[in-house]
Amino acid sequence: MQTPQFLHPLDPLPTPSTSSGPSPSGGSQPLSGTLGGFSMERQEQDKWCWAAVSVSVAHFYGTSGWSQCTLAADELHLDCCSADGPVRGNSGCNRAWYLDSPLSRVGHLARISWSFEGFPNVQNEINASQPFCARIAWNGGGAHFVAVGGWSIDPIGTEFVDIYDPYYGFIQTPHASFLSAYRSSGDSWTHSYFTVAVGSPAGGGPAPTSNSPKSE
Amino acid sequence: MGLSRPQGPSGGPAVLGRFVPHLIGRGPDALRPVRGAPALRVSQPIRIYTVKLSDIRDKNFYAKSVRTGWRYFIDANGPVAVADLNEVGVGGGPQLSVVWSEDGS
Repeated sequence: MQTPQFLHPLDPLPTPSTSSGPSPSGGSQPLSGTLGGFSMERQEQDKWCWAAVSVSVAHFYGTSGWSQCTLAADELHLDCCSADGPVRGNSGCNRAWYLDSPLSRVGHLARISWSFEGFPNVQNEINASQPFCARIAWNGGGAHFVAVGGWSIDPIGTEFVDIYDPYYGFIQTPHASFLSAYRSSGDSWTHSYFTVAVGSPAGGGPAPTSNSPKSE
Repeated sequence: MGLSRPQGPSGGPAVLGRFVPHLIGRGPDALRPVRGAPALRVSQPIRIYTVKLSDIRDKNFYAKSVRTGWRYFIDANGPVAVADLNEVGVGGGPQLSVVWSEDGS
């Protein structure tokens, strides 16, 4: 695939200015942290961000045996892996759901926080090799779950987060933007889900945390 | 009469030039070919419009859409990412987010 002709001409990417000064830490080298080996599955249904995020976290920690449809089936008590295809519609498998419950079911929920997290907490979790997840409430309505898998600080001090999005893919954005303007202004990071290698017991049919939100 | 394309912000490419070289070294293994690509190029931008979900079925939805920024394609012998530059970001300045293609398309 080529970049469409109407977007030509293609110009060389400008060279960064060298007059921007050193980073706040006093050095000129960027600082960063990342989760080695983390990858995000694409959500198999348009409302299965919660399933894709949970399964991706499980696979990162080496927990096998879960797929998006098996997790959805266990969460929703429906046949979501039928050869005829998942049951669709709001009364079927393809529906907005919680994230704490499926993360707990796969065995990797540590805790849920009813807010966004500051950049130091992002750094702490990633540096501890623990992906954590975020709920984004869209400005226009609805919500979405993503995972945070990295951070970096550029030479002039801008703090970036690496977002593994089961719908959009891999996105890098300033932490300040992720708080309140993920894809457009007004999108709001409302909840955080901390994970751990060995967390809540898997397979026990956990209930969502009281008052935890869905992806809607 | 030909179609005219709106000019993007004069400082847009400079913002991309400031951030993209820092960001390109990170991310999934699938992006390795991009990291080793020849010099990156940037396309001419297109406008981004946003419309609320509650308005999308409105027959006047176009009138309710809001200009929110500009989208550039990052090219390395084909598009490898889109960079969205919002005009007014947190703190009043422009903000950039980069969505990388992991399959080269």
